[in-house]
Parts: sequence; C-alpha cells; structure tokens
Amino acid sequence: MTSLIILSPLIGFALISLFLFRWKKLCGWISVGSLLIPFVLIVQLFMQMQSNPSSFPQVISVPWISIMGLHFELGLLFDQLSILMGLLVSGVGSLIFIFSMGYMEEDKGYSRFFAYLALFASAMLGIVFSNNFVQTFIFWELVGLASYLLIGFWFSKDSAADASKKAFLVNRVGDFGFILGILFLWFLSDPTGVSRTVDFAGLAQSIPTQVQLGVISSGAILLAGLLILCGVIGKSAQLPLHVWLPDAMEGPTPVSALIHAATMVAAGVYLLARTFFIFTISEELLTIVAIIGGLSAITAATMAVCQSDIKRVLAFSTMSQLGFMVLAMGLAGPVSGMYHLLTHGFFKALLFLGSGCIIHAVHTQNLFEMGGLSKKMPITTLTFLIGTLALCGLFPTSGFFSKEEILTLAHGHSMLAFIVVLGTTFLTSFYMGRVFSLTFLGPQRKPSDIHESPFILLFPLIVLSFFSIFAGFFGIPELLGRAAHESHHGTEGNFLALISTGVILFGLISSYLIYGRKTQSQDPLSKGLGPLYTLFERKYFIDEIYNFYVSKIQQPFARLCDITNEWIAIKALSHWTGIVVYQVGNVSRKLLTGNVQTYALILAVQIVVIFTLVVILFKL
Amino acid sequence: MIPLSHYLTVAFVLFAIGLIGIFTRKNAILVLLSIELLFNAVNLSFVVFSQAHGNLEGQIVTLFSMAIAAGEVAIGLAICILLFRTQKTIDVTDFTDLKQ
Repeated sequence: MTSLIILSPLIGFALISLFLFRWKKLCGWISVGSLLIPFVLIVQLFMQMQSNPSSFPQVISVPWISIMGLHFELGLLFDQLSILMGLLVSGVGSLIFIFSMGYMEEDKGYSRFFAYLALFASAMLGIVFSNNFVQTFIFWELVGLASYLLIGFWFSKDSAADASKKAFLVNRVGDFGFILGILFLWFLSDPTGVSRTVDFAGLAQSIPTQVQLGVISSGAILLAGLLILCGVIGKSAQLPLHVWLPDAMEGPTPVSALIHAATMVAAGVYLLARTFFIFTISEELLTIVAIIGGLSAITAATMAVCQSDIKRVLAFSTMSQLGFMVLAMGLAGPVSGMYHLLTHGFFKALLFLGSGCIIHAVHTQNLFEMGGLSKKMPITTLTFLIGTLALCGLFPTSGFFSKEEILTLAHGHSMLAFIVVLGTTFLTSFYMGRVFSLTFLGPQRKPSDIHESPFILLFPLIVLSFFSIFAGFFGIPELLGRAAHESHHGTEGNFLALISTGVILFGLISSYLIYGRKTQSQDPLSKGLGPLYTLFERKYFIDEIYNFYVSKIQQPFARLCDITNEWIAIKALSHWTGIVVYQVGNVSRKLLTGNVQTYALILAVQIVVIFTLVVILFKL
Repeated sequence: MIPLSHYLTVAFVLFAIGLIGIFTRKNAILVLLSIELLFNAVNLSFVVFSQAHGNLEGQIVTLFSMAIAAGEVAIGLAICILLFRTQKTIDVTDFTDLKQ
C-alpha cells in the first residue's frame, strides 16, 4: 500500500503519456490526483508516527539483486526525516500542480506538461523514501531527467533547449562524483568483502565502527564524503556547479517553483541530512561543507541584487538559501538545515507562484517594466509580501525561526560564519525589498490592462501564505527528532534576533528608498557600484570561465584525441593490422590448390621434417 | 649370403619410386600402381626382417598385407571407373574440388 507513494505519480505519468494524451482537462486532474494519493498516505503515516513514535523508523523492502556478496534492495524508509520531507514534497507539489492547471491552461503541451510533472513528483518521492544509495541514485537521475524535460518544456525556444541541456550536463558532473562515492562507500562498508551494503541503516552502523577499529583511514572517509558532496553540490546548485540554476528559469514558472522550492534542489540538502553520519566523522569534511555553503550563500546573494529578471532574482535567492542550509549542515546542525529547508519550501514556492501570477498578468519578467501592481492585484501583492518577509526572516514568519537557528549556530561556531550569515541576510532583505518595490509599488511603468489572477492561481498562494507564516509554530525541529530543551531561545537568542531584525529592516527600508519612490527604467545601483555591479550582474563571469574552459581547453583537447584516434589508432594500427592479415592470407591461399597430390606431398614433407627433428633433438 | 642392407636398400628405392609416382603422376591408374609399389616395398622389408630375426610373424603380416592390397586395388579401380564415367577423365590434376 505504501509503495503507492512512489508508484501513484508514476502510474499517473504512464496513463497520461500512453492513453489520455488527448483529454487535456482529464490529464490535469489525473496528475493532481496521483500526487494527492501519496500526500494522503504520508499524512496518514505522519499521524501514525505522532501517536506511536516507537514503531518508527519503519523499513519496507524487497530484495532486488542478490549475487555473491552483492545485495541490493528496493525499499521504503519511513522515519521523521523522510516523512516530513515527503509531506513537503507532496503537499507543496500538489499546490504547484493545482496552480499549473490554471497557469498552463492555454499551452498546447498541457497534457505533456502534466505527464512530466507526475514523473518528476514520482522521482522526487523516490529519493525521499529510498532506504539505500543505489535506489537513491536511480531516482536522483530520474529527477535529473524530469527536470531536463521540464526546463526544456518550451523546447522550440533556443534558450530553453540550451538551459535544459546545461542543467542536465552540470548535474551529470556532480552525479559522476556521486556514483563514485556510492561505490567507494559500498567498498568501505566492509573492506573484507563479506557483508558489503549500500543501505543507509547498514552504512550508518558499519562505517563508524570501521573507523573506530581503524580499518578505514580518515582520508578514505574524507574522499567518500567529498564524492557524495559532489552530487549534493550539483543538485543543490552550490558553488561551483550552480551555473545551471539561473538558466533553469527558462522553464514555465510552475516548474521553477517545483524545482526550486520543494524538490530538486532540496534533494541535495536532503541527501546531506540523510548521509550526515558520514560527515560527522570527519572534522575537515564538515569544514569543507560549511565553506561551500557559506560561499554559495553570500555570492548568490550578491548576484541576486543585480538581476533585472524577477525569476532570476528568485533563483539566486534559492541558491543563497540553499547555501544557508548547507552551511548549517557543515556547522553540524542537520536539524537546523532541514528546518530551513522545510520552511523555505513553503515561502519559496509562494514567491515563485506569485511571480508566476505577475508574469501571467504583465507578460514580462523584467522588473523595470513592472510597477504599481499593488492596486490591480491585491491578493497577489499580499501573498507576495508574506513570502518576501518570510524569505527575509522577519518575525513572526516561519523564515524567522529557521534562519534564527542557523544564525545561532553560526554565532556559536565562528565570527566569520556569523558575518557571512548576517551579510547574506542583509543582502536578502535588500534584493527582496527591491523586487517588491519595483513590482508592486511606485507608478505603473508599462501601461496595460492588468487583472487579478483567477481563483485557481490564488488558492495555492493563500495556502502557502498560511504555512509561510505559521510553519514556525509547528515545532518542526522537535518533529525532526531534536529534544525540546535543546532549542536555543535564551538571552543570546533574543540578542541575535534583535540584530538580525535590525539588519533586515535596514535592508528593506534602504531598498525601498532607492527603488520604491521614483520611476526608474535603469538600476540606480549600476552607477553606485560601478564595475562591481557588472561583476555581480554577470555572475562573477563564472559562465564565461566555464565557456572559456570548454571551448578553448577541452574542445582542442578533444579534437587532439580525435585526430590521434583517427590517424594512429584507426588508420595506422587497426588498418595496417588488417592489411597484413589480408596479405598473409592471400599468399597462403595459393597453397590450397585443391589438388590431392599437393596435399599429399605437403603431408609427406611434414612427416619427414618431424621425424628428422625428433631424431636430431632426442638423439635417437 | 646377401647382407640385410642390400634388401633394405631395394625396399627403400621401391618406396621412394612409389612416393614420387604418387606425387607426380597425373593418371589415376598410375597413382594406384605407385601405391602398390609402396605396399611391395613394405612387404619386402617385412619378409627380410622376418628372415633376419628367424620367426614367421613378418611373413604372416605380409600375407595379410597382400590381401588388403588386393582389396584396395579393387576399390581404387572402381573409383577410377566411376570418375571416368562421371567426369570423362581420370587425370587427378583436374579434380580441384577440395579448393574452397
């Protein structure tokens, strides 16, 4: 029954793509229904867990491959982490599906879109509930495939086709490290080779024991952790594999919401939490994770400040928030990281869907062509404001609580981490204030007929707003398994909260002062920051560096390999081998005349030769 | 008394002539004849060794060998006749069906 959690959207995908392609409305409903079934099942599991916590974690598994020393299972793992994550994925996912029904209404590929969405949801739930690395990897790749299909949904647009390819390839780079890491961990789980395993539970038991026994060196753990981290970096768009994320905005807006809020990018952080038992072993590993997270957070925030495309700002803010989560993991606070992941899922989905409503209404993504929408679209404005405040982390929204966790964690760890978090918080509130001011306040820059969105678009926004505000009061850290007395709400917490609130308000107000009052067709910051602005706007030229590497280094090297292959391996070696063999055969063919007498002669000569040799050699 | 080596020399010469005949003759009947020469060379050496060792086993084998040779000639000639009927020739160089 519980396997329906994964199978139901998969069946939905199969039904739509095989049979029901023509009935558009039906496809939408089937897709939504196929994700609501898992949602209901997970809610049921959640209730069970609340009433009877001792019976969890539960594992349901069937053997899949079992050859000597090689045992793989297909299984579902239900524990606090996976059930909460599953709730987020299926819950927010369902809302996004419903939103899509309104948003994509006039699109020709309506049925196709919902088929892909269902596939994506299935793959994502597969990652969340997987109980071993191999199954995780399979669904991990399926998520990659589905995201490729969704980002390139409008494939006739060149930029979308390129973006989907880019997302897929960049993810592949990370995934390559990931699969090596899986193989390595499988090897490490029992170097003697008797009982190797890829189970999370089995690994969590065997790896620390092996380390304690001194069978595995700390270097091996470091390597394994770094390889797993590769996959995390690719999926969660951390430095230096973040380049696919802004381009992924070429997909339809619900896709951006799906990929950037609750699912794909969250998968990386989720995996980090799931495999945290590896990372806790090595101090260096945690430091590397923290550095990557912190760097991603602050660089992404600076990039977000200078974008003029509303979805790109949100994309960079996602990267920045994911940096926070990874930083929290690196500071040994997996609960705080997951907490922020869950609350971020709500308000980022809200922001993306809100931006979808805006784009739906004004038909542009350029911030400097919007403005004054608050009068025309009051509900969208209100919900977007809630999302903005939650993302900034203002009391009492959910973002406040989860961000405060990370801030406290950073403060307890080192000054540098604290400054990074605080700086990112300031930048976050600044660019979100900028987006809000440019979109909703001030005069309308592009006069056109703008209406509030229909109810089907607003309904998900309202639900998500509710959760964005109140998710902080549900006690999520306790649900994730932290004991209640551990939460950090002392005087130090209050002090930090005061500082961060001040920083956020400063960011919001300064952005309002710069952008909110006057009509600007150009960003005033571009004059103020000068060359720095260009640096931020062009994303630190990382794309250009990669382009240079690919076209100027990798491409010539590939061509060199091609020439070597063509002229030495193919032409010289294999061709000439062929010629020699052919000629030898051609000559020796003459020996076979078909004349029996010749054969007999050859036979006789051979006998004579052999006898002579025998006589000479054995001196008979 | 003629020494053993003389007999053996004759047998060797006979065998060599027979071999050369087999390899060089084109007429199938002459090839058959050459095979008979081989038989005779071997028979001769059997008899001679039998005499030299003073027992009769070699001579008995010779009798068997002559009987087999008679049978072989019968089959060989039959093959020659069939070849001539079907191929209108008994020149062995014309038969190259073993090629390919």
